[in-house]
Amino acid sequence: MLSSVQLTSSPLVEVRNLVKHFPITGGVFLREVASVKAVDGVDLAIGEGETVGLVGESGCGKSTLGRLILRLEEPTNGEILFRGESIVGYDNKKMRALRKEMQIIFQDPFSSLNPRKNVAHIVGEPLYVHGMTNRREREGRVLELLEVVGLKQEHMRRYPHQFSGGQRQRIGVARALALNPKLIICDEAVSALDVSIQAQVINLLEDLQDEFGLTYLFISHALSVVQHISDRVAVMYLGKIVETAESGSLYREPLHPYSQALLSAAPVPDPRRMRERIVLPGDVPSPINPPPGCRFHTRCLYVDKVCREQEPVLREIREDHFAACFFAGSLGAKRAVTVSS
Amino acid sequence: MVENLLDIRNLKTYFNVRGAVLKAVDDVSLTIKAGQTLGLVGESACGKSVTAASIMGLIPMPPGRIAGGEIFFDGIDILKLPEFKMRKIRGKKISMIFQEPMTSLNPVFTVGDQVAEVIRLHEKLSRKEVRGRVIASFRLVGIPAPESRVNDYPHQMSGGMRQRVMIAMALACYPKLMIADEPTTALDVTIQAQILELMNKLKAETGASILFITHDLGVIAEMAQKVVVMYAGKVMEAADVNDLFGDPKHPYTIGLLSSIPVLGTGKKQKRLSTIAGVVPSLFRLPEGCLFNERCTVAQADCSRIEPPMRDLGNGHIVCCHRCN
Repeated sequence: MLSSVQLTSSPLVEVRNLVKHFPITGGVFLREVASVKAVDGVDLAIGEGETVGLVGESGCGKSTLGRLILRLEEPTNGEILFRGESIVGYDNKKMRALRKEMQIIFQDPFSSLNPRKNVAHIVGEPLYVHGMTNRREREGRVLELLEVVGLKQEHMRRYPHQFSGGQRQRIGVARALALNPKLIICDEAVSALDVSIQAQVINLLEDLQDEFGLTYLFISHALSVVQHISDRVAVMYLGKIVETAESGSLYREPLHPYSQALLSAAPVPDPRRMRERIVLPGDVPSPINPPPGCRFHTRCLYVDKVCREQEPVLREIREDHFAACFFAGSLGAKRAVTVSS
Repeated sequence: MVENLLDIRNLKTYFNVRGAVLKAVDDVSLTIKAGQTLGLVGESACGKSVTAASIMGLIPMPPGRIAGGEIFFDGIDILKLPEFKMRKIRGKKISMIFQEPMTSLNPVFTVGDQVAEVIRLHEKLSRKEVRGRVIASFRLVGIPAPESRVNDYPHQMSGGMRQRVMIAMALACYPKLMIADEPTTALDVTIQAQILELMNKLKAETGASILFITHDLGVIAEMAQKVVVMYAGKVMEAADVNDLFGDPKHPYTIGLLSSIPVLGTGKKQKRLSTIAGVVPSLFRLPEGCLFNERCTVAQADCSRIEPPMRDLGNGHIVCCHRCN
């Protein structure tokens, strides 16, 4: 299903060698003394109607990548293509027109809604900005949107504090849908919700995708949620994608040592399922001074000389399954050697 | 030696808010044996943390009050103890690990000083001995180069290291019971795995009991021997960990377990099953069973009569009319 999408049509969004360095200034003249390498050379394509999951730990650059695609941040280097057209050079006017097509749902439903505005205003604002100035027309559309996300007419005049977390996230979804976008970036969209409510919002997102043909970039640290919702998954570590594959393939057989550790570390709600847990030593290094060579080598169980010296690139190990590791695909054999020696 | 290290009987912790009485913890009973880990799970605002604060004697009064019940720790009802005696238990025999390693350490003191404070409060030791104990406890929780790290300030440490400091602080006086309130929620999965592994190792070494509070059923499955499920201030179900995950009885527990996507089940699930509606506000609790409005098997009596606690044998307790 997925590969056919990729073969028949060009991707909806594609980023090529995308880089974002945030400068750190210091001294009297605020010269740039160092930079945080939040996103450091990422290639990613999202096909139309597809859901791509982006996982990684805090500080790996996954949210920055999402914001770069929307151009909420200006990239330091690299290309962002939307429907095959580069949008990096777009001026504000062109960008505003394009924003109709791409929207974002934020993590925290408590701080991403203005507490002084009622729901009609919050959901109606993107409509107003994009030219629907007739109030009656606008409120009709808001009403439609509220129904789509499972809220009622009487909710229109209420303020954010009158809603529960799950309902607020539905308001966030309604706002993102207002302009009939093609692409929605879900940045930890369900992470702040309780489990029973989280399931409701995930189902809603999936229903909306079927109904409106949406494309999602689903950013999350919750591996099980990403597995559930995604067609394809990319794993990020320190500003780079270390592995990307069709969701089933990645979860069944992770090829990069980091993905393996990440998956084995995630707790599973079944006390009888005994798994071998790979506990990684140490912390994620600082993105200001990422380690030379492979960025994961400081914590990797299979580290070798070449890992400290050269940087591995993403290569296709299995069909449609890419990993950036010198030993991906032969780690089992390498492990046996490491253990015996 | 009493059988149950901690024995909470019919605890009621109420808060007076805006003229109403909020029953944050209502008639909660649970027991922890020595060396056992009890997992307390539930969604936000179900009373997990208030239960913990009640044990520690940390409920702000007013607006809060203990409206009834007993908490026996090592055979003594600690709710009846005067504050000066409670102060001797708190931090020494019962210690607590908080959720936020970023905010629960004081930024203007070194981490070594903060752990030393606990030891100085409870034991008469010389400065040198205290420092030795701090370094030993840092080593115990796996902080590398403890001799120099004790002089660090919290901002110089990563989240995982700060949580280790919190654990070192909780362990400094060799407590019998550790209360861990969402100790890994703020951490990344690979760091969470390190901390969980560490807590299990320390429990085996020191023989302490743990009251482990979390909303993450996956963490509970890996850590606890016994599990208590709370909902809107009441216990819905309590059982051995294998029984609870293998054969859950309460509709709420069943709903919770089926609404989480499970990692690596092979094929993609079609749709997540959900629990309809939202957690009720403590200001407007439903009549009868607290869960009846969201329950799939509710019948007429559920919305009128509060269900009793039923013992299904083997310590499996459930609060539901429909479970026999």
